[in-house]
Amino acid sequence: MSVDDNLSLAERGRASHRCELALLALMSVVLFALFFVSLFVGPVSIDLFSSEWTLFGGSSSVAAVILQEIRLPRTILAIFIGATLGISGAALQGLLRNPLAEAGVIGISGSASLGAVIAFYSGAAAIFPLALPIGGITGAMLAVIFLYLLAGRESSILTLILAGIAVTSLSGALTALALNLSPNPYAATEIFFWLMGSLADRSFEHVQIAVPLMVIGVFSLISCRRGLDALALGEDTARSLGVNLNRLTLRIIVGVALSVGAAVSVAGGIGFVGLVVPHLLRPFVGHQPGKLLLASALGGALLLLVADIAVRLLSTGQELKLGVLTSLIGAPFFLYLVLKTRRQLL
Amino acid sequence: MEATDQLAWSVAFQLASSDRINLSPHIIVLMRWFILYFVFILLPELALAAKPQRVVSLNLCADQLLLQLSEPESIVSLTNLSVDPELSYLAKEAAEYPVNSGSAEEILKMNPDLVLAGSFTARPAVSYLKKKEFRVVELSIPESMKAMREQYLKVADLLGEREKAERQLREMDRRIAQAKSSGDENLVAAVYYANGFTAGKKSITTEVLNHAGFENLSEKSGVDSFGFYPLEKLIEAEPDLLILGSYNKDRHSLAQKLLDHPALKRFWGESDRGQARVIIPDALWICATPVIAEAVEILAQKRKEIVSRR
Amino acid sequence: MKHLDALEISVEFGNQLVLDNVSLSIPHGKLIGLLGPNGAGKTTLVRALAGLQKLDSGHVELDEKPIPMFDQQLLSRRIAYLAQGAECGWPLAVERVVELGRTPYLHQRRRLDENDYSVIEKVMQDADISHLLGRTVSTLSGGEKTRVMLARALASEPEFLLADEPVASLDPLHQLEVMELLSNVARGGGAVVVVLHDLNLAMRFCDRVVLLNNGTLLADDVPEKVLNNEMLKRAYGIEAKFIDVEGGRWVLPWKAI
Repeated sequence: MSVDDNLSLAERGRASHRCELALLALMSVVLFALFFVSLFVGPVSIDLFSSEWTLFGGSSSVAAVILQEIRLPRTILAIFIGATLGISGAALQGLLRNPLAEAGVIGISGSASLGAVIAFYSGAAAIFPLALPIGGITGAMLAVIFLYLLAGRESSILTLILAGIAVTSLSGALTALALNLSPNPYAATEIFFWLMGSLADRSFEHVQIAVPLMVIGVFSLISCRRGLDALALGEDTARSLGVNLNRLTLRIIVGVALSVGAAVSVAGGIGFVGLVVPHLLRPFVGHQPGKLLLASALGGALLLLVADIAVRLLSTGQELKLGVLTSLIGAPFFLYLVLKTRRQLL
Repeated sequence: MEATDQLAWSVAFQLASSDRINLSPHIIVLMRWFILYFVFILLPELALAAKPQRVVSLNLCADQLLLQLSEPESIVSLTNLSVDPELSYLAKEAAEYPVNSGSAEEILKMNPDLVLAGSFTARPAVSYLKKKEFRVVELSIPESMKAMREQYLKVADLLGEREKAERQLREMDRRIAQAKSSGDENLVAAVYYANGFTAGKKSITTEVLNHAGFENLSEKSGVDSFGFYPLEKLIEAEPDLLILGSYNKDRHSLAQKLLDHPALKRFWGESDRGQARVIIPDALWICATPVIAEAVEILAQKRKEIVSRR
Repeated sequence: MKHLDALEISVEFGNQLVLDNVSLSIPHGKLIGLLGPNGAGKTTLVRALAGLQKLDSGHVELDEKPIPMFDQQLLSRRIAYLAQGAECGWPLAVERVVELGRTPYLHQRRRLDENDYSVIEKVMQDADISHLLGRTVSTLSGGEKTRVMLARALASEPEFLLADEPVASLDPLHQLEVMELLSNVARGGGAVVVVLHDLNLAMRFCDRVVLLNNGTLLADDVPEKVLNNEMLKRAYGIEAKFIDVEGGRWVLPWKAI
């Protein structure tokens, strides 16, 4: 982005707007391409050209069933879950004015897992499928409200992270307890899924129950962009600029709870996407919290889809959990951010 | 212990009754004392040892063997899995007995004279009990019908129930022979358990499938005894029969939810493809006992249906 | 005549009365200095006038209509608030911060247009920050940052500008420039309330001075009548020397009493 010094403010404004649009367009194009790549990566090799038509329609050929029932829902979930994780990270960071805020780090994912685990293993989800995302959303909502009451918008990074550790440990322990209490002998080993997250063998049932809720959550968060921009100048200034802080906070809490809660309930707690993506994209949108939202949604979708393709390519035998890969990338990144913001911590 | 006692006893007896060997009177007297000792003191003990009175099981499959072979009054305790109808074929019978969770302390209190354990379960208790010189017999997982027979008879011998065991095995052979179909169509079956696991070529499952007239899909695909099989690969292989582990709707786990995947339903749910699916309860063949004849019967029946539909 | 009024407002923090029955009227066209010792309640009063402070009694009215009855966005076009030591949470570019001053005019789908940009350009010139275009706020000096924030507040073209210590961290040149700027805003028909610690700047630029002490209004009049030894003693506990110069008067804090 090179802008001539002689340009007027309006021209500069339009130029940077074009830059941002170009970034979004580029990410969309790459995402579109990766969508097809994702459909053709798996343990069974499917001929790209002869089977493209089988993406839709009711054929029950091997290729059609694998594409339609296994890879398509998986790809759709990767895109939507990545988008919700990215945008909710950006929104939380904007609200708390804190680059370390992320659904997994501050315990929202863990708490959503607990809600989903209770809904699933109690059998509620078998009777009423929407109980699964509702459980996840309830868990996420309780965690956001608790953190917000405890740490607040203007609290230090340290308070927030410590509160997050407390929420994560407590919800992790309760999740383990719930799984141990389950009469099903397989339940206890499934804590890995809920803590790390995976998209293996998901189906359209999961798309149906989770994606609509995630979309509502994402729209709720995108509607916050002006408010988040103004909030960069602090609460008083934002309010003096006409931002209704209570409404903004409510929208973000509801948006994060809906999107993260629904995502976790079908794929477990995939970590660090919401931390890495906004941080990488912030310079490209001039650090504006509002503009970061949509960019982070696309970036999150890209990152998670790439990670999921990588998991499928790397795995022989039983699949590596997707969350293991995102955490392997994300945790050192988190450490780097902590070191970078250490001065603020102390 | 028992074996060496028996050996000493028979050697001594042979020696004592032998005319060919010239023995001094002293030795004869000593021998007589020995014989008296064996007849009146050791022999009753040995008889007891031959038929244990207080048997404890630390393994689900040992539970099944005990329930089928032992006298009910000599069973002291079974595992807590034994009462689970999903896994235990004789869950109803098992409900009569106290259950244990496999801790050494529990078993110690029961003071068993025979402990049946598996080679993978309750390991700390097994090694502790062995150290305390309890009589612990470890069962392996039979990889063939032959191995299953041997183990069944071995346990029967321990319990002094050889005749019963032989009778049950003959009945099993009769049922399997009767179930066997005569057709020569080459049909492939795949077994799909929770979490996407399948039984491979070195498993009794393969032999059960073969008896019922099926080839096991994983025989060809390199799964040795028990291993993971990706869902996509399963669909690609298009087996004629998909055999699912029991899926209980009231018990919820992601592992078992996989068996409900729409892809499986779509592929094996439509009759026009000529493929069929069947649920064989885990309890039927999770342990190798003569009841696997029932699994052969169900599968052979399914084979007839598939063949007749073609 | 448009005016912003505080009517018998009281604010308590815990058991401490921070504002005690304060009434104040702010008419258009005036630059009003708000003075008082540390902890006198200046910031609370300014926040109350901006509608940001929850009141325990009394109310603030704009054109005789209580502030809470206004639509928040419409109100934000009329009253601008510049917080003390305002910081930016993210390393935004200078023009992005000033642009935020146009937030009261934006809706969900409306972006900045030519008119917005010309306002932004003008206030950046007024605040003498045009040369900082493209710089990141976190790299600016304290004075530069204050002027950027002031430009942001002016960008909403407010009728009432409430500025909390805008000159605290500025060098003498920029102090004068900012005071002249505020004075021009007042001349242009707006009203400015500015929290100050500098008695001379108050004396020189303000049309009215409001003196606060311990949450009560001590004086509210033209500077010459407020900034006298009696008032300074009651408010600050100091004695001052006064020097008359051409066109004004200097106040020199001399000693503590």
